[in-house]
Amino acid sequence: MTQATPQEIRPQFTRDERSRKAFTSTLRAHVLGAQARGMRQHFDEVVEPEFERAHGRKPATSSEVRNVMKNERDFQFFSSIRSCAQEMVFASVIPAVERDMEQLADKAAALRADEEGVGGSLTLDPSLEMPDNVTRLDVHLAPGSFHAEFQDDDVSAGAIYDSATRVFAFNQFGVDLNDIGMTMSNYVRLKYPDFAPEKILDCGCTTGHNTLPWATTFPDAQVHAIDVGPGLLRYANARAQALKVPVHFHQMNATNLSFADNSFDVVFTSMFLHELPLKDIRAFFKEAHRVLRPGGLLLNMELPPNSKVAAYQGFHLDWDTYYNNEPFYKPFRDSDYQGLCESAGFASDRCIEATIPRYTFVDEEEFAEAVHKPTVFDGQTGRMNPKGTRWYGFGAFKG
Amino acid sequence: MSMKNDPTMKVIPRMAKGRRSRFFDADGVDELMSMVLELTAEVSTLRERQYVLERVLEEHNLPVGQAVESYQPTERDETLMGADRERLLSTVLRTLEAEPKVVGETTVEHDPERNQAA
Repeated sequence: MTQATPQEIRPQFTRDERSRKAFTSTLRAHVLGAQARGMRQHFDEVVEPEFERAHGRKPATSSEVRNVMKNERDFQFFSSIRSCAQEMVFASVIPAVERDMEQLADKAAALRADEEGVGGSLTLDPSLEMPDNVTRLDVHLAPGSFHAEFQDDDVSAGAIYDSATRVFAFNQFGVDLNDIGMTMSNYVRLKYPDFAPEKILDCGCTTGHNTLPWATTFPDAQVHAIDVGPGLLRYANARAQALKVPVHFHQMNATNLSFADNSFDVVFTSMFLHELPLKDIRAFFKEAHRVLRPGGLLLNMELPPNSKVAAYQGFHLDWDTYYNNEPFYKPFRDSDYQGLCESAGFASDRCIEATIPRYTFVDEEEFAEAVHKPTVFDGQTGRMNPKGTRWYGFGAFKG
Repeated sequence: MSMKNDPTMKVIPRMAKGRRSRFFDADGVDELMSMVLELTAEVSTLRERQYVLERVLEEHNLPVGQAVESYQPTERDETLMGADRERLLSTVLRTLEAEPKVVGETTVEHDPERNQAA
């Protein structure tokens, strides 16, 4: 069953705008493919041997690699082009969203009214204070960050995020941009066949692309999703309604959940924690522990920690923290993930970790086998590699 | 090539707030990189449009190469094409023409260690 965003809530791109989006995707694939490989080769052949001659050892940490790479011409061009490409991702979609802003808001409002009885809902909280990590910087270099509103009842932030993610991903998130949700939900289904979640919560859901797979993988479960951005949530709700997948969207901060104690079987996040300061991750994990029922699972899809990957791989993954307005990315990746779970009340022997092939890129049999295999940390784990990606997840069962 | 300029239209900023990252020591190189890539995007877009146009015309049994060469633009053509060139330039030169940032507002802190301590 497709979960592609229905045409009715997409902005209408002109022929030229479609070409511009395609070019930007190609540029991103090129810089993260051929150019990244060239930069790695330069490191292997020139930079690392020089470091070894000077220090009598190889660089041991991502920061050491960064210190020797940042003045290299290869890194400067790689970074400059990658950063420009990131700006171009948003520049390629914003004009169409701006043009169609009113129609998109009207469409979303009509879908929210739920005349077809899909069963989803949207609960906004206009009094919610936007967290500093969202407002202080335009995260991902996205003009307006996650939360900006440009008119009443605005869905622009969601429409931009959806279209921009498609350009950004150069197909790495699957044809419906939902591979992460498909991978993690099916991992739970196949790894823990006796675990039948009845109530699932996705925190930091943005447009809900990775929320909806939980509803389809566990069709008997009630699925809730939260985010702080009102435009994202209006759009996510409209999108889910148009796809006829019942999800309850709430405007809420993950560090302060309104849900009752012991009320969820799964608390899920994807690519969310690395946008939070560590103090907020700690607060969120405590909240996750509180709202989970005994036996419930906290599962986070994330970038792998620096402690588990080679120094160069860590350097490559750290890039976004310095140049993509994601200042908390490296502090999170430098942290002890299991320690964060334990300090929120999860027992050490109930913590889990997995590296998993992408569900929508492999067949069911291969995936089912892979969920029982040991973790693998290499150049394909956690990063968008045009040659293939393995997602990383960690978390813990409660009690 | 729309000539509309509706003042009531809502505007979404085209660039992130704060200072752009700088990768090169020499002044201006980072901006030039953006210009070169934007220009490449424009060329790519144009080439695709031309490719599609020629295929569409062929489908309608209209081999147009000669007709394009001998075409004489009208006054209206000139106005539209002039506006489009202007749009092209403001896209290519976007990094130079972004609104000046407000002093004291959100300067990007590329210092994760410091954020970790906070």
